[in-house]
Amino acid sequence: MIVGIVKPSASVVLTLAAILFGLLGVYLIGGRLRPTAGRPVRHVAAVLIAVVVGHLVLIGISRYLKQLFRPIAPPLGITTQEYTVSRALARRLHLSQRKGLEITWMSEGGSAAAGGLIPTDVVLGLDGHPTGGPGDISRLLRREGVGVGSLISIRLLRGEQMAEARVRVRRADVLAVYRYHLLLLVALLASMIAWVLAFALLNRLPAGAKKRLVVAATFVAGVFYSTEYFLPAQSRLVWWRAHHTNPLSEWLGPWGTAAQVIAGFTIGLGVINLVLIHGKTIGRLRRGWPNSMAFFAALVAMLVFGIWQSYLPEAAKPDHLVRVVYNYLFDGFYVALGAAVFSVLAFYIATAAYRAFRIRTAEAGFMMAAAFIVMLGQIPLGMWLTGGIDRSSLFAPLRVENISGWILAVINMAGSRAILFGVAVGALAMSLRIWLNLERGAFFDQEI
Amino acid sequence: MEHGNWFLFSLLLVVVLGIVVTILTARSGRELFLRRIPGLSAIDEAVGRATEMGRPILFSIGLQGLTIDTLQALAVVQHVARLAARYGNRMVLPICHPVVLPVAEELTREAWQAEGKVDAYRPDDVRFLSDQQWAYVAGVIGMINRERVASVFYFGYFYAEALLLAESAQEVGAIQVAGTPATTQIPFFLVTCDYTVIGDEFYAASAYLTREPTLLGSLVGQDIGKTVLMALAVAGTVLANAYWPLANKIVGLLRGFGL
Amino acid sequence: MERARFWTRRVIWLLTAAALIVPMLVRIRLPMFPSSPARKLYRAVEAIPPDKIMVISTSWEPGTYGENGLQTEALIRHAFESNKRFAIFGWIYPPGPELGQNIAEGLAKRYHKRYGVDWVNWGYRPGYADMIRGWAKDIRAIVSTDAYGTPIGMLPVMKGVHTADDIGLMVEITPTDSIGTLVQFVYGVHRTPLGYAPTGVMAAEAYALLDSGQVVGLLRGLVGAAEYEDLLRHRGEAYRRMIPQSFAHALIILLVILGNVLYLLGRRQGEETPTEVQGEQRAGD
Repeated sequence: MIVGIVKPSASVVLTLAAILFGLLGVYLIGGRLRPTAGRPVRHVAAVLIAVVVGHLVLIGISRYLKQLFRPIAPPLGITTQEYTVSRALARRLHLSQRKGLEITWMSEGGSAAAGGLIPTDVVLGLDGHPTGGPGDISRLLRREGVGVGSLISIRLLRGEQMAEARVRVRRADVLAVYRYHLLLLVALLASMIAWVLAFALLNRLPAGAKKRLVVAATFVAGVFYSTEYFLPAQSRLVWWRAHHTNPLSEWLGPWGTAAQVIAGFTIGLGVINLVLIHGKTIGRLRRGWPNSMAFFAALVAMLVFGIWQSYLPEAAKPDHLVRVVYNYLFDGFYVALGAAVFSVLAFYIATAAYRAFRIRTAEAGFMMAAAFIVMLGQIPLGMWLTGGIDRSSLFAPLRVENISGWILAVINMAGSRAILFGVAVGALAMSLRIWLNLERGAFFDQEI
Repeated sequence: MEHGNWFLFSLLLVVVLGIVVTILTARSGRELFLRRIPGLSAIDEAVGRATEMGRPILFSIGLQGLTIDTLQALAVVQHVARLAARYGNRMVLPICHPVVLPVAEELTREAWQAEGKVDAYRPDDVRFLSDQQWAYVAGVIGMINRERVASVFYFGYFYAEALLLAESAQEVGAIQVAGTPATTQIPFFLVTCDYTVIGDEFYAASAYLTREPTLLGSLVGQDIGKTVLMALAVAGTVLANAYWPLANKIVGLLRGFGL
Repeated sequence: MERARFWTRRVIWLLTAAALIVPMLVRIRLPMFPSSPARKLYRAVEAIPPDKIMVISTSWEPGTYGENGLQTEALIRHAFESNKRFAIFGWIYPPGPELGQNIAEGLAKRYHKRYGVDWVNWGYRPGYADMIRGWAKDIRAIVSTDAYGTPIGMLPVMKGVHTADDIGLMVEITPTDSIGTLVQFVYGVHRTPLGYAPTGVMAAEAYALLDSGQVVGLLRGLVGAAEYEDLLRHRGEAYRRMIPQSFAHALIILLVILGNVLYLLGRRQGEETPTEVQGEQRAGD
């Protein structure tokens, strides 16, 4: 389980750390080479050297760390995942809970194996306490009165039958609980400290170096994504790889995930901004302070009840108070308000139609005629107007829904495709300018 | 397709080379013609009008995060912010995507600083509303009505809320300038706003406002790229309609290249 | 002038409300003729072979239930009626699969269909395009359990379903432009047939995909849902809502005509009418 948890996150952390290391190297190496503005080649070379060196160093460190924290057996020598028993089976067996933990892996020498459990067993309870969520087993093993040598009874579901097993707690199980959580804590703290240090270092760089860093990072990212895209899934150009598979594709996942995680943290920025502004409004009793009070009430209520109903097992029942309040907030306020604001669009379209849809030129007249036909062609009322024309006759194309369909499928399609081409080329040009550090104006020219 | 092929690579190379060559040409000092885009020319007028009326400006940059469209919109934000600072007016900038917030704050502060009016800058004018579409819209409509803004700018990618925002601003009598590459919302902006910048005119905004040779050159390159695509489309259509077996042979040949 | 403008808006809003509410109270029957894109999607669903599964991607939120929810209902009804097994999947909005599941459970009682045998809910998977790439190559690697924690291999409905090649049709129901990702990684790589059910405002852009064959059929918003119900010979909620929509559309057409008539009359008389917009220039003038 430790290996399972450490492995995917390690690749993300390694990648990001290597990039940072490499970019720091831009300043260190770049300073010696004295790169001048407009000489991207040297920047790129410096980045590549630093990334490779950084990666090698970090791989070495992680290998040493892996030796230090050898994979240790999880509590009871099993790994589990959440499992929900089907309603029919729960009814048949008169189960009071549907959530359990299904054993996905078992250590052959572990205490669970010795007690007679097998993989695919679903653990429903331990010493009478329900085990439905992650961490329940290790939490229950730390209970008062449970220690090395204790005999614990496990209630489980095997296939479609209930069963009972007795497991004797071993020393490894008790140690495992603490070491696992300790390792996790250490890993989290270490990565946080590393990131804080890295950002502090970055902040101390002179402005010119920061700008070079950003330019180099942008260039490398552009090279990576375009190379990954144009290199086929399998190509003899990468002769050293097994099956000649594209070596860059497997990095898309971790990079994409890392970007999403970073973007996810920015919601905190938004919340802080809102709290500061509304807090000031209330504090100084500015105009509209009751609205700011409403904001805080809504924020706190949604946060509290949203998290509560998610983690409280009893809240799964539809008539539980927490669930009722949460549904009231979600369906009654959030969903209803969103739909209401969207619906206002209908009224505004009507006023815009009266006030602003002006036929000032011949082209506008054609456009309006086409709009009328398309609108009528979509509604039963319009279809009723030309309903008299036989659908199999020569004049069938004159039925309003057929004219409308032709306008949409031919004229509209061609026009929107043309605009899409223009927008695509425009976006390509802007991306190219940003990639090659040619974009000017706004913040692109500023010192960081 | 998951990966590109030779045909796509060649096409991209042609378009990219066109853009790079025109950028280099423009940088060498050659004069380039850029036709008038009324929507962008009207920006100065709109800011001036708001200042005369003593009412603030509102700028909405759409609902997306730090995408190409938002970056382009931020380029226009900086231009408008500098004008507002110069004339001593307020610019309210409600933000939908939290990633954009720090960038927008930095940008507007720099604009006021560049005009030497850093004391007049109000940090609360750049604020995050909500990342939920309709909550953001409700917030902006509220701001438009409470602040009784005189000029509203919509630059960026908009979804169904375009008409809601434009009609609300119309009610308070604001002058409105819009620019978006979102084809589904262009019709709504066209009928409700005083000036509209559509499609790839939107991507010309930074070139138009700054008149930087690099950006002007890039615009010409874009036109070359579009010409190449148009020529391919016309050639393909003519060939397919005029002589189908030949068109089939050519497609077969391109398939051999992995199309 | 200001008062005239003020009251004109309110009267228009009242008329709009009346055009929407009154037809809901009075029973009116009008003809409905399904369009070609809707019929193409219907035929694509009918053509799904028995050894392949249909994927209904519920990439919508409660706000667009009026269009996307009814499209989902029509498609699930068709799947149940023609005994096509299907999977509900979400990759844009987390509440999507739960909304789809509620609709499926409601219809399952009527058609005597069972969860796990006739349909499955794969739940929501984060990751957008990166996830879709991997998912199309190996469905079970991404969707190892259903939305309720049951290992996917244990469900009879998943028999023979491993990659996007085992999908007979994937219909994307969404108010966003997520279809581009599916065209690139699902149709582009595996040639899996794709259907698209966007909200009405997004439908105009979708015709390019329909024309190029990247999408086999299209449902345009509420109209599309009503057309599909008509193809199923079941005039349900979507059809009922088309009647108020008809009258609202007719009102808008009348308002445009009225506005232009007053504008022309005002121009003839050489004075500014209450309907004049501010600013003279427009793009392209």
